[in-house]
Amino acid sequence: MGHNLKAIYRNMLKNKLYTFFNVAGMAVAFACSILLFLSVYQDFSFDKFHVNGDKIYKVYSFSNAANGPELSEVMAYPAGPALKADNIGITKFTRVRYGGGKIRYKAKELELTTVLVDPDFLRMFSFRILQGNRVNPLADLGKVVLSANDAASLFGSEDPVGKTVETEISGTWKSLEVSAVIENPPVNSSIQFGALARTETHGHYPAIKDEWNNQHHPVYVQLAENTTQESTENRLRSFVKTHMPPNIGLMKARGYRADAKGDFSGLKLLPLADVHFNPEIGTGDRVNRSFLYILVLTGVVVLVIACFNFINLSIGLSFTRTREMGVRKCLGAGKANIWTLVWGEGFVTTLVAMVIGVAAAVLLIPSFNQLFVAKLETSLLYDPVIGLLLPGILLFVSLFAGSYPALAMTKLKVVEVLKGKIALKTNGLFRNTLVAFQFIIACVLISTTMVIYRQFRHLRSAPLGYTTTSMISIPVYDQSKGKELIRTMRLQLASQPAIVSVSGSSFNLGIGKDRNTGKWSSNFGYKGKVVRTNWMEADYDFLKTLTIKQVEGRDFSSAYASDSVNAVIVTESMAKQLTDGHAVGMEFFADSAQAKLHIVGVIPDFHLYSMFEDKEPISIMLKHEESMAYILVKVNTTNPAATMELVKKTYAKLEPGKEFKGSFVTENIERWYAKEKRLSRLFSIAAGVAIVLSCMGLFGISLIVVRQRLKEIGVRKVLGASVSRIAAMISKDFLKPVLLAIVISVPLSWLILNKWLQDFSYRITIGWWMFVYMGMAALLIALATVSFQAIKAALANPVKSLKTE
Amino acid sequence: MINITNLQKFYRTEEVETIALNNLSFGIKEGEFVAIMGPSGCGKSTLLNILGLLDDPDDGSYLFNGIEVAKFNERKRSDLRKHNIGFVFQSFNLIDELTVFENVELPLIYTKVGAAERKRRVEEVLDKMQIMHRRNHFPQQLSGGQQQRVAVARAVVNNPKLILADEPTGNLDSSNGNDVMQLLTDLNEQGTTIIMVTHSEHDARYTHRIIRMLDGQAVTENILV
Ligand SMILES: Nc1ncnc2c1ncn2[C@@H]1O[C@H](COP(=O)(O)OP(=O)(O)O)[C@@H](O)[C@H]1O
Ligand SMILES: [Mg+2]
Repeated sequence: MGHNLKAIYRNMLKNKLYTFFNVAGMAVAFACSILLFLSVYQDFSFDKFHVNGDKIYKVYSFSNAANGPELSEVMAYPAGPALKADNIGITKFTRVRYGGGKIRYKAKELELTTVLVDPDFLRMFSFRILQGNRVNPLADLGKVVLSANDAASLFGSEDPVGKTVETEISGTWKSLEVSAVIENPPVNSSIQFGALARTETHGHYPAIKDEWNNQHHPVYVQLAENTTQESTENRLRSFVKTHMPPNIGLMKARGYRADAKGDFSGLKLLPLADVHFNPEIGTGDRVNRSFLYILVLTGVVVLVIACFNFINLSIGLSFTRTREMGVRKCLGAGKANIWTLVWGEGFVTTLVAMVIGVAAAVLLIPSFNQLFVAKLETSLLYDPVIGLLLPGILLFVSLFAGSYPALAMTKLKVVEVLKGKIALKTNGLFRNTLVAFQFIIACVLISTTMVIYRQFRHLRSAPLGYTTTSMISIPVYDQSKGKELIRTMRLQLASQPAIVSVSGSSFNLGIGKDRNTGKWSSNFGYKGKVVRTNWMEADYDFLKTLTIKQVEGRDFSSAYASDSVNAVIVTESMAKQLTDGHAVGMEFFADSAQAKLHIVGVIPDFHLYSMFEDKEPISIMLKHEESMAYILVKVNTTNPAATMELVKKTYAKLEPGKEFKGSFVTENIERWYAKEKRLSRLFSIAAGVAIVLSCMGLFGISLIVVRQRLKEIGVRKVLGASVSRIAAMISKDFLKPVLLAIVISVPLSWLILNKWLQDFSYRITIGWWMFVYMGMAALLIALATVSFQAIKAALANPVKSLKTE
Repeated sequence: MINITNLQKFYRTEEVETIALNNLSFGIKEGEFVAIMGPSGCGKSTLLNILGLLDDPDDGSYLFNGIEVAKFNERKRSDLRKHNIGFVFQSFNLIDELTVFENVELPLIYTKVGAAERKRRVEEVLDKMQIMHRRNHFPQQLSGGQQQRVAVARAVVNNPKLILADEPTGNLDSSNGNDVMQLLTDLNEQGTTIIMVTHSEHDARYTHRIIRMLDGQAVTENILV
């Protein structure tokens, strides 16, 4: 063993350059794939630390609308307790509602998220209690539980247990006694909080605690040991009939349908394990499982490229070692000895690369987190699974990369080898196959990057039907005073030349810094037909602010007193559902409980939601209540930053002390496509790494081949071949597999990307010129890589190369 | 010790078939020092490779110490070889990455001799070959004569019964060549059987017997002693 290590060490040192190429290439690949695997592992580890995890579910409601089921996680206050009380296999429940964002102790105030829960919360979930009441810290309404970090920053060295803190809950300050300190929710917990208090402390609770129609929070339940999800879901059907019977007549009228069990709507259970992955009714920053598989695949592909480099370099270099192996065999080395020696070298290379790769990954974690909006922690490396994964990868890669050269060496015939330096017989085909394969991957990644980025840009800049630039949207903190805020802001900004208009809306355009989205749609009967429309509520100057030109009629205006009662602006497709003629002036009832709506304007159809959804009929009502969720400000400026500052200052006077969450609508729209942006980033990096690794391999091989052909090159030169001719001859050999790779990767990329694009109704078409760019890029990079060695060899003095033998 | 009868070896390439050994038969007794001579391409190296169990004959019989080894598989040949046969090559074939000591140690590692015993035996043989002072040098740092002495040391460190030398003086000047021949003679006098391929009549005079080959066949034998 010691002997082998010494031999391996000396051989690696002797071939410094190749060792460097091998180690560097593998280290880059390891660093990349470790980061990818870590982040995938973290995502898959979400919510797995709860001991009762497999018995915990999130309750959600479904209703089978005409265009597919509508799912919702929000429940009413009485739902949680009833689920437990009704004896349907549910033994524990907790409602989880946002309470507030601040806490005070003496003079110190801290921002944290207070989550309102029920006492079962700490019995269901495995958040460890570190200090204080370990049995039932939320036994009464006057208690609060603090997470360790927040307790430490609030109390310093003081013992928090038993102390009274001021907690902001639903906008008012409440005095609560700290009953326990709990460990911080880990990063891989969907449920995050800084403090826990009881559901009942919410200001609205007493008034609506028995209201089944007022829904605002998710409910988690734990099933009895002997119960299954299916049986509880079956029992939930009668639960729904008892407590929240759907209005089937109305649902039918609105196009809802019964499912296989005959339900138009109802409740179901989402396993806790799926909460992190469900885009509709999950919790926290959800991810798509297929995205995670893409990450794993990318990591593996990068490793494979590095392995191919290793194989190619080892085989290329074999001619310097065959004689040694022959001698060793001659002196009694068996196949196992030879195999261990050659494979051992691969193993040592991989090991060194792994160490460097892990170190690099650790250093890169902050940038990775920033780039991919991730929350990786270095401590993940100490996780036992990762502790097993890394040696596993090490072994796999060293076997995958080292076995072929090792096996080839053991098969060498001693007699032939001893005659002189011969290389392993690969006749270039094997080598070129590997090179071609690497470049196929690189080319596919290049075209993928191009297409995804272009699709992202395409979505981002898609004409939505209104002008998205120079518009600021501000989430309102106290929505009940929304319209008053808008009025004040309009007044205060009126004299500013940079401000065009101020309006408001019931939900945001795009995704703002508050990350909330909203959609409201309904069906109603009109003259015997079912009319379907999406709804939005807005304020005066809406069309002016969005720069929408009406086809007919006008914008909402305070000049018309009647507007504040029943004015509505509809899109053309909505108008067409009502009449073939002029819609302005028409009136309709959307809901028997509401006032008759009066159409004041018709506008062209536009995209109210992201480009993932088609244009649908939209009706915009002038909001008659005082509440409003968003302020919209249209600006006209060459200095957006200064204007934003102006708007921010104005807002600060309206809602003092509240965080300004305003943003440009163009930013908001980009957030719709955050996933595509993330993908395009991922692929551009993967493509970069693949290209760099492939070129490192190619460079290494060109080095070896040129070394092997030095004599031939010398002879050719002596016989009169020109430098350019020789350089071209050598380069040509290398470019063949690259060309082949380009030819294969074109249809391959086209197939993959075309399939990917099918998911978008608004999409780019893949132009042939993209592949021309891709091919040119690959070819030029490859050419630059090999021509260096080729030219160097062609320029070399033939006398020298002919003498050395 | 060695008895070959009707040994045949062919080399087939795409177009031609070369008969490297053609019905070759002879015997060599324990303790003999034999030279094999003949023009280039007559099959000397092929013969030596077969005798050294590095290669197998296509036909014929090869008795080594009374055991038929012609049909041995690679594993058995390797076993027999590493305990019984030492090799000396024209081009020394020392391993560049290993020191003198480590080169000589190699056969002992492959026959699983313990570390302490290895050290003792390597030092003993290096001492005998008078290259002890070079034990930590690498082959490129030595002269040709010194390299060949290391090669001989490596061939004998395992106390083989048979040493096969393919033109051991071919790459050496006459003074270094004579040194190596003297080493081989000494070894032979201590009981080792030696078969040596050579082009040099001068070197052949150190041996007991010359087998002359032509086109894969033994044509004459000169008994010198
Ligand atoms: N691997 C081989 N393939 C084909 N022919 C070979 C091979 N090795 C040797 N020969 C041929 O066999 C004959 C004997 O070769 P060899 O034993 O090396 O001769 P010598 O050592 O006497 O010069 C020669 O004609 C040579 O060309
Ligand atoms: Mg020969």
